[in-house]
Amino acid sequence: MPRVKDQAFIISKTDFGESDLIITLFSLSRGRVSAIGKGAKRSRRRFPGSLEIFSRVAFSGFIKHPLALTRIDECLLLEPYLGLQESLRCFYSGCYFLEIVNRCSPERQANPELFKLLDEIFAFLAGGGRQSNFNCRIRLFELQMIALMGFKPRLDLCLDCHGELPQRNGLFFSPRAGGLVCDRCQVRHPAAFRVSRGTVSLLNQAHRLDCDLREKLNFTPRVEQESAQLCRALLRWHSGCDFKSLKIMESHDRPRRGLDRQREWNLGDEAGARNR
Amino acid sequence: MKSYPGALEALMVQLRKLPGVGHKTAARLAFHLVRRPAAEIEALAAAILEVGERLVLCSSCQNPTESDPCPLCSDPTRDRHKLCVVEFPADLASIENSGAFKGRYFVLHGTLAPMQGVGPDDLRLEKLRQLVADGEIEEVILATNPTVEGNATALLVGEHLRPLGVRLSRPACGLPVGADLEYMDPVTISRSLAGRGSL
Repeated sequence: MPRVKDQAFIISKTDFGESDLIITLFSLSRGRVSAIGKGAKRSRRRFPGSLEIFSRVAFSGFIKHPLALTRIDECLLLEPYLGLQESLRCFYSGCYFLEIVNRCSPERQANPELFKLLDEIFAFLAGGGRQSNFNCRIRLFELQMIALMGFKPRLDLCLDCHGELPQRNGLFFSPRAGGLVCDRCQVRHPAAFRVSRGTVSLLNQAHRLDCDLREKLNFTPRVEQESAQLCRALLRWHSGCDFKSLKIMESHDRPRRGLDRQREWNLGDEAGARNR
Repeated sequence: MKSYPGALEALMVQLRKLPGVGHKTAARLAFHLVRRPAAEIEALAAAILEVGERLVLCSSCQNPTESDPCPLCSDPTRDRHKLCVVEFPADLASIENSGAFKGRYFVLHGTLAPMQGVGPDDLRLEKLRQLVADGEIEEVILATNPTVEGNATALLVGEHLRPLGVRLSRPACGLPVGADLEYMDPVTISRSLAGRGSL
C-alpha cells in the first residue's frame, strides 16, 4: 500500500459515523482528493486542531487503491490563517475561493501553482480585508485562479470569426466561447454580454502585473462590476452550477455598497485615472 | 442486485435518510428490527410518531419542547439577564448538563456554511434580535463551537446584536481538562495562554 506524505488545504469536512470524518483536501502533489480520517473527531493526538477549513496542514496516510479514499493517519497544523475568522467579509471570500477549487479543479491532478496562489489568497484575507482595493484584489485573485485552472479567457480576438476586435465599443464576452466575440458574431452566442474596451485592456494587463503593482491597483466600479460578471460567468460555465458561497458573499456586500458607493466611485475613478 | 420484500425495502429507504446511515447500516438496522418482538417495534414506531406529533419549537428559545414556552424559558428561578446562544439543541443539553449556567438559551439550528449554501438568512437571527430587544437581557454569551464556522457565526450574531447595546461574550478557549501539552496544537496553546487566569 503506497504511503503518502503531503501538504494540503482543508476544503471541507463531513461527519462519518461516530468518530470519523470525510475530508476534502487540496494537496500539493495530488490536487483535490477526498480522504477519510479514522477517529479524527476524537483523537487530539493524531489530529490536533488541524481539520478546520482554510488550514494548511501536513498529513500522512496511505492509499489502498488509486480510486479509493485516501486514509489519513496523522495531520499536523502548519498555518491556520486565523485572520479569516475575524472578518465576515474575509470569511465569505475565503469560502468562495475554496468552493471554486472544490468545484472546478480536477480530482487527483496536481497544480502546485494553484496551491501557491491559494496560500497567497489566504495570507491576504487573513490580513483582515481593510485594504481600500479589497474588491480589486479579489477580482485579480479570481482571474489568476481561472487562468491556473486552464480557463484563461482569450481577450485579443473574436473567438467566433477569428477577426480583429473593434477598437472601441461592440465587445461581447461569451462564456461558452471562453473569450470575446465581436458585435457581428454575438448573435450566435445567446449568453454573451457587453464589456467595455477599458475592462478588456485592464484585464489583459492584469495578467502581466507584478506583485507590487497588484497591491496598488484599483478598479473603477464599472471595471470591477464587468470583470466580476466576466469571471463568474466563466466559472459558472465551466462548473455547470451556481456557487453557493458567492450568493452569500454578495448579499453580505450589498448593504455596505449602498453606504459606500459614492466613496468607492470617487476612489475608483481616481485610481482608474492613475492606472490609465 | 439484491431484492428485499417491499416493506423491508421501504424501511431501509427511510433509515438511509438518517445521518451517517448508508446502505449497509440501513440493511443491518432493518434486519435487526425484523428479529425483534412485535411489541418492541410498535413501541419504537409510537415513539417516533410521538416525536413528530408532540414536539414543537419553543417560541422563545427555539429548543424542541412539548410545551410552549419550554420548561427552561418558563422557569422563574433562572437568570433572565443572561442569554446563551448555541448552534444545536445538543449543545444546549451539554451546557445544561454541566450545571454551570443558569440563564436562558437560544438555539440557532445551524452555523454559517457558505459552501453548503447556509447563510445568515438560514439562522434564526431575527427571532434572536427580537428576543434580545424585547427582554431584560444584559449579556449574550455566544457559545458556538470554536471552529472556523462557529467563530464566523459568533461574529455574525455579534454584528446583529451590537446595536442593541447588550454585553457580548464568548466562552474561554484553551486546554481541556486532562490534556497533555505535548499533543496540543499551536492555536489551542496560544489561545489558552492569551486567556490565562491568575492563581
